[in-house]
Amino acid sequence: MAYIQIKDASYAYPGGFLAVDDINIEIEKGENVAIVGQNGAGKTTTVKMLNALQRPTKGEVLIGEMNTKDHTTAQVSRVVGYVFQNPDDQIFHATVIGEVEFGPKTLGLSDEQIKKQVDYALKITGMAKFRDENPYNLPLSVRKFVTIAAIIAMDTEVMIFDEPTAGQDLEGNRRLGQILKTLRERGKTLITISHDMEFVCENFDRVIVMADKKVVASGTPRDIFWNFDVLEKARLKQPYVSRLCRALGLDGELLYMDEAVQAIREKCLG
Amino acid sequence: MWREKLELHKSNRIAALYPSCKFLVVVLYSVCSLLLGSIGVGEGQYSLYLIPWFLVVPALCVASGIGPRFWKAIQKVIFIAALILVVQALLIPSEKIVWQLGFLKVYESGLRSGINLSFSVMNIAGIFVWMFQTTENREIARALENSGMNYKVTYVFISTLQMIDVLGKNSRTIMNAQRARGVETEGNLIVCAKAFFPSLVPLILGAITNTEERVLTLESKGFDVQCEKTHLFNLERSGHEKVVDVIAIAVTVAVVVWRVVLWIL
Amino acid sequence: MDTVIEFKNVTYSYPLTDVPAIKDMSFAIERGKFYGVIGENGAGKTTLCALIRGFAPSFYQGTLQGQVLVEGKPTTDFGPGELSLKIGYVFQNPFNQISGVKDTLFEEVAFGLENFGVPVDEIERRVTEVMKLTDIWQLAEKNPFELSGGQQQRVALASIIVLKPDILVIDEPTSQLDPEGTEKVFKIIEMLKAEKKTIILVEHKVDLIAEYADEVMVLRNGKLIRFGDKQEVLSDMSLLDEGVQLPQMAILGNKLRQAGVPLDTIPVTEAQADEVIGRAMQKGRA
Repeated sequence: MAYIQIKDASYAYPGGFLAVDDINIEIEKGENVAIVGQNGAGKTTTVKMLNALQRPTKGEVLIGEMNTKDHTTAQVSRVVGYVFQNPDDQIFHATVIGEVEFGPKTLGLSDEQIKKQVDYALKITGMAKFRDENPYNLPLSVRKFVTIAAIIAMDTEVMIFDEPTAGQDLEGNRRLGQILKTLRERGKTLITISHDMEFVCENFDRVIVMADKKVVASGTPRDIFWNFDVLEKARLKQPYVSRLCRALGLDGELLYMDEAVQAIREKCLG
Repeated sequence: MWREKLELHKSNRIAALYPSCKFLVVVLYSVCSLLLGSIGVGEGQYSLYLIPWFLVVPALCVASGIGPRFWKAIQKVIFIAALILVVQALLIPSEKIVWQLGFLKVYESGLRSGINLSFSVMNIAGIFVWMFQTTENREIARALENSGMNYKVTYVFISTLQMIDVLGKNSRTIMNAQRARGVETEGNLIVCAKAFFPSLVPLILGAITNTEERVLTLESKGFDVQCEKTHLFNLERSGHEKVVDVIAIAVTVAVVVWRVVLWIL
Repeated sequence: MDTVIEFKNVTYSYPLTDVPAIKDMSFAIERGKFYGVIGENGAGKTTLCALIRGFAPSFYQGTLQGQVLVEGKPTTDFGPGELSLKIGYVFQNPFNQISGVKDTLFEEVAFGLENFGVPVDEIERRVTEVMKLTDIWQLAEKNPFELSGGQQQRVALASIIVLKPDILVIDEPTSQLDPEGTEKVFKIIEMLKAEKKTIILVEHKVDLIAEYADEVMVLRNGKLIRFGDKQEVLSDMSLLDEGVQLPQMAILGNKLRQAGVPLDTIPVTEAQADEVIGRAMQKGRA
């Protein structure tokens, strides 16, 4: 039995609008999965069903033993953490440390446990130096890391990142990659929604493609980004490196820069 | 031509009334409501005249063609009014008890003030709902400007009206974000109260930080320029304003006279 | 050289701060060219935009040393609204650029023209034209608040374009948008470039800057550390150490050179990469 199961699930808004149509997704513990697709494909709704922010109007969602229909969102959020796209929708403390402590405190952990988890979260997000700062004195892209720290401090089994790279610069993207790597090593199950294909290829082992409220495909980045039918259906483009390799007529379904360099070098130097 | 599309050809004559006329109706209706509320009926001196008076509002709404929309909007008001009535009647003790069922006691003074308060709330809220449901924001904006109000003040007024809707949507997003962190929002009153602060702060902070950019946006669109502004939308009088004014004033005068007469007798 | 904006030894600090946000910056912007502005977060890119447009120091207060000149005149000498007609400004957050007092998109786009007292007939004509060009005509009757972020950003662009400014300052317009939304915004920017507007665009999506810009400005810690032809700047690998993202193609090109592949130039766009690397591959076959 997979750890996370979305079974024949659909979600229709009260007015009747169908956001997700009969989807099936299975995610094992410790996997890291990226969900891609254009806006309106149903990605956000799918992911909101994972932490019971929305419950399927048909079908069901199981996280481990929990059926989301039988639990409140707050209960499910002990297992599934969600970092929203806009940090300003979440932050309401006057200090970074206050914000990061809030989650574990709400969970009712011991003071010792809270301190341990908070210190860890601040360390791996690089936010330790901003402990006592007011989050609103920090630039938006840095505030993003405050909300990431706030969820890491809750030490949930599963973590969902909604568009983590939006508005990030080079350093921010590097740090994100580091954080994801560390979490992976700790065995966490990571799920992201992203429009950044390069980021997805670098950090995730599995890609789920959604289009028109359905799941269109699921596979490794290499499978997905060289499957032109799927890309067309979902109106997605290949990563830059792949596009170039295709234009140059290179074999091998190349995705990453280093293998592209290898392949081109062979062609040029014989 | 877009301008023609914008011109509101409201088929319903009451809904098409000029905003200031509607406002007069609102004010006079409220005055009458307060006057009628001061008339005590029966042994307990209850403000029973407020009850039939309230029927004017739904009647007006149906006549203006907005019956179903009015019903949706008024449900919340009715809930609050009912709450007020129950709290006043059951929880404010006094000597005289009007009715008793087990340990539930309905006190006379509480019942009296409860009826007065709850129906006054329904009357005044109801007539305002009528006005806002039959008038579009751009009509109110033009009417305010035509009456000489500074366009900046008009801007603040209209944008606040629009913002209320938007803040509603924002608050839902924020509440979702907090639920995802373990803040319970489903449950009893205490639980909801605990969720209030984490939801309110980002909402207000968000509104404040967004305002700075909005001010600059306005400046980029010439908001501060001192010149004669042109208007795509033109407001027209429907022609029935005088009639409605006369009726409204006549009814109010009648109520005032009646009240004075009752007072003298 | 037809200089339209000039910075002369500009140092600017926000109120109540010790460290200047912009330090001793000097440069000249030519009319009709497309400038990309890149740099890490906090480098001063948004402050630069605010200075060009005159929001700093007039709105933000703070202390300004040196001169910011638009068409030869200091920004502080312009009257209210004058700069709005010369310089159009688009912010990062699409939501904040909606006036909040109009119920339909058509009126929203017309808002600026109403404020400037443009005759109603002309308003109708210009708004219709611009809405068609920016691909939002079909949304004309919708409420601005009911649109997606991408649509709202196109509305923000349309509302500014309709005022016909010659200079456009656009601050990270696509950071909150999906790829389709980004593409549509850049189509509009491409159109503006074809009309020979002077464009100053701040973006993290440096691959797109490589496609469209003529010249690139790089900021770090409030200083201008590079200013020049896009080809030169975006193929300068040392910028990676300064926290600046470079185009994927340039990084690839550099790695190829390091691996011994002889490339004539380091490409910065896909088309260029295809050409340059393709040539090297052909030589290899020969």
